[in-house]
Amino acid sequence: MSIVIAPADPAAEPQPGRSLWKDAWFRLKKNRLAMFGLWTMLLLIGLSILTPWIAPYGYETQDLALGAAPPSLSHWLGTDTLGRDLLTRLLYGGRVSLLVGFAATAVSLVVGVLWGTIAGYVGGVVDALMMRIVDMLYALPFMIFVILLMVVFGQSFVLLFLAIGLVEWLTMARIVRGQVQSLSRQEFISAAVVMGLSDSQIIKRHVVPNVLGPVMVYITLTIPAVMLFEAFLSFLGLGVQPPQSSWGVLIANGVETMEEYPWLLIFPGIALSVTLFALNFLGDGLRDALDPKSVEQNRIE
Amino acid sequence: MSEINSLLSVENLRVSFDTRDGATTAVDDISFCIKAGQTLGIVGESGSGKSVTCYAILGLLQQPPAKVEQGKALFAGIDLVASSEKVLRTIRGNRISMIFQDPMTSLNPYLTVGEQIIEPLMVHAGISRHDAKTKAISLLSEVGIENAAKRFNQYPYEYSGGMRQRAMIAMALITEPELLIADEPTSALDVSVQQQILELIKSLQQRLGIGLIIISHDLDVVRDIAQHVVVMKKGVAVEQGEVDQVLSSPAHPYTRELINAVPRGVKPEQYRFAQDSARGLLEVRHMSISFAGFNAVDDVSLRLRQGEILGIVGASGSGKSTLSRGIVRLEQLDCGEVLLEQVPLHALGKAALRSKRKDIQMIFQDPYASLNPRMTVHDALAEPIKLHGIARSQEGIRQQVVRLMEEVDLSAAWINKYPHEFSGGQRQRVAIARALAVEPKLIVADEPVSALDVTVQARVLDLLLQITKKRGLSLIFISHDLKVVNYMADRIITMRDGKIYEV
Repeated sequence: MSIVIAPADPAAEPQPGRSLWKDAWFRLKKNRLAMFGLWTMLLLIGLSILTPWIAPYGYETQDLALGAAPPSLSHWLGTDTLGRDLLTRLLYGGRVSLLVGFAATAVSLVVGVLWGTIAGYVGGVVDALMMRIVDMLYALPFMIFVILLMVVFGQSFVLLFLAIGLVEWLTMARIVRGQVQSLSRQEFISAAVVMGLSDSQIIKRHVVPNVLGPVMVYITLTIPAVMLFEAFLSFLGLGVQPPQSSWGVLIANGVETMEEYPWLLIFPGIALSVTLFALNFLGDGLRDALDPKSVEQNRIE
Repeated sequence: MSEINSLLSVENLRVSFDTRDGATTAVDDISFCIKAGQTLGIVGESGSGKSVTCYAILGLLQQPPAKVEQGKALFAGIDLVASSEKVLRTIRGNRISMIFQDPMTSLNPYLTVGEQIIEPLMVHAGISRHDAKTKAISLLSEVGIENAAKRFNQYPYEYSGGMRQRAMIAMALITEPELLIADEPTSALDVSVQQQILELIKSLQQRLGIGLIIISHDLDVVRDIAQHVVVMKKGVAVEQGEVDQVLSSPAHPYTRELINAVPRGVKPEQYRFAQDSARGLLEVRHMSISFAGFNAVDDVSLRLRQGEILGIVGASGSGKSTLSRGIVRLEQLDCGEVLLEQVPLHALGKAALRSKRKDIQMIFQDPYASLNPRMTVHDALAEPIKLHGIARSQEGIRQQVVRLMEEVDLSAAWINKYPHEFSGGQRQRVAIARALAVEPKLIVADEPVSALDVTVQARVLDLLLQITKKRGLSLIFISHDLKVVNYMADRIITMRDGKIYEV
């Protein structure tokens, strides 16, 4: 590999120091696909927030006489079997899906990264203890766990993404722990110890930034998984309840009537796919942006 | 340059790589030839194109980004450069074999060594498994592996580094090739083993009468083994000819630089240690460190005075790295004491130790691993400065960083570069600057130059000498290379099996 180093220009003023984060943002901005993903996500989030004001109909407004109608001028995406406007239901469903997706992933991110980092960094007995707890939770039948939560605390939205998040963090913790373990054997961690940094400073400045790559990728996989999971829970009657809706629920219902009313499957499907694409582009872009070595690829574009 | 009865003749070979800055020429118009029974050495630093040349001959380059722009490599009447992959496959690993640098990674850990040795034979000669095994076992004992029949069924992890390289040699020779290419066959091995492996390659080559191309950055290796030598720099063969001729009266300045870069004798007078005035700085008393019952460091005591450079030599596994990590308290001591200016480092609590760390810093072997890949030079150097309050304002820190960079001969214009944008030597300079940032009294350098090229090595060694002199630092310099330690140190101790022996 030939790395070309710019010849030192004696006249060049030494620039002030730049941080990884500023650099990352600078690089992300140059990645067109990632920016497309970012704008798409912002658009979807914006639409979800504004839904009550922009939705053409109420999400439970029925027009039984109309029944399941194909897309038309008055109902852009058609209506479902009860004559409810699909666009409206998609918008409202998006609120649920995006909220569950992001919130549950955020829970799993915070808990998983912290747990995995501490276990991997400290090692020894602490590591063994922490990871055995993870193993035990893995072994717990998850459905029973969620149902139990729902029964004890009653059905609520917050509980839904807490429950999902509390399960998703297990995998995150395992991934992060593995990464941290191999990282902490690297000499730059030893160098940081010798320098006199405390453990928390080392974790914050040297360990976490170096595990962000795989974490980013895993997040982009988790968000859609969580959205589908929510659909499954709703199907069992543990998630959102009719007449409320989510993309997962809409897709599940759409599948049942796929042959007669294909638009009931196609449009929710498109909404979910677009989200997943956007998240993937954004996730890949973030991973590259946080990796200084990828700067060369960005320069080509 | 083409000669009749030559085994391999390479003519005007040019290889380029597509990079983001356009095509760069990695090998530029190289010609050489080798006869059966002869040894050719190709010398040069990393990036000089010596490996690329051989990879191009064997069709092992990934194309693109690599591109063979012109030239021929005639082997027994076949132009290897123009041959199809199918033809190359019948030659590679059969009539031309190769030994790679790192025996740790070039063997498949999931197959027994024997399985891997007979593979080329079964692929190319199509002989039965039983015959292949008989042949492999006799070859294994020939390359100096005792108890070959038993060793045949063992996995690579059960072999030591030297034994793996012997197994690699057996694998390369089993098809009775006419030409053997050895790419840095000893540089990943311990010094004590290097010589044995070289002797083995040399004697096998002479007995089998095959051609041998040996690629190395080490002139001494080539001097030992080759009759002809090609000196490469930046893709160009700057000089070639008889080994004795080239090395005794080098015509090209670069060859002279290479020869002079190998440290010989002791350091210049002005860097020597003035015995009398110095006071004690570090004292290690009866240090022992063990891992799972294995004594890595066994009852070691030593003293170091201010301004002194103490050299520690030893083979890998002798405990010298563990000793150095014990001194800076990266490892816990089983027993013993480490006193820095009478302060017992081994007994300090966490917080007290952290502030005392300012006085004792470490430089690590691998500058690729010892710098955080996600921190710019500025951030890497600013961190210790901020931590120990050497400068506080943003501007003050920046000035301090610039001063450090200048001290280690790095341009201040590179302040926002990341480690991967630097060469190995430059990275090691960053690591040195980081160690200096807290104005320590003692630096422990664990093999600081062994991952670097010879000419770079010489410059980094001189930089270390200059800095220790100027700042009045003490240095513990650890290396497996006696020549380097001899050059650097005021006093040398050897380590073997965790114990030290004064020299």
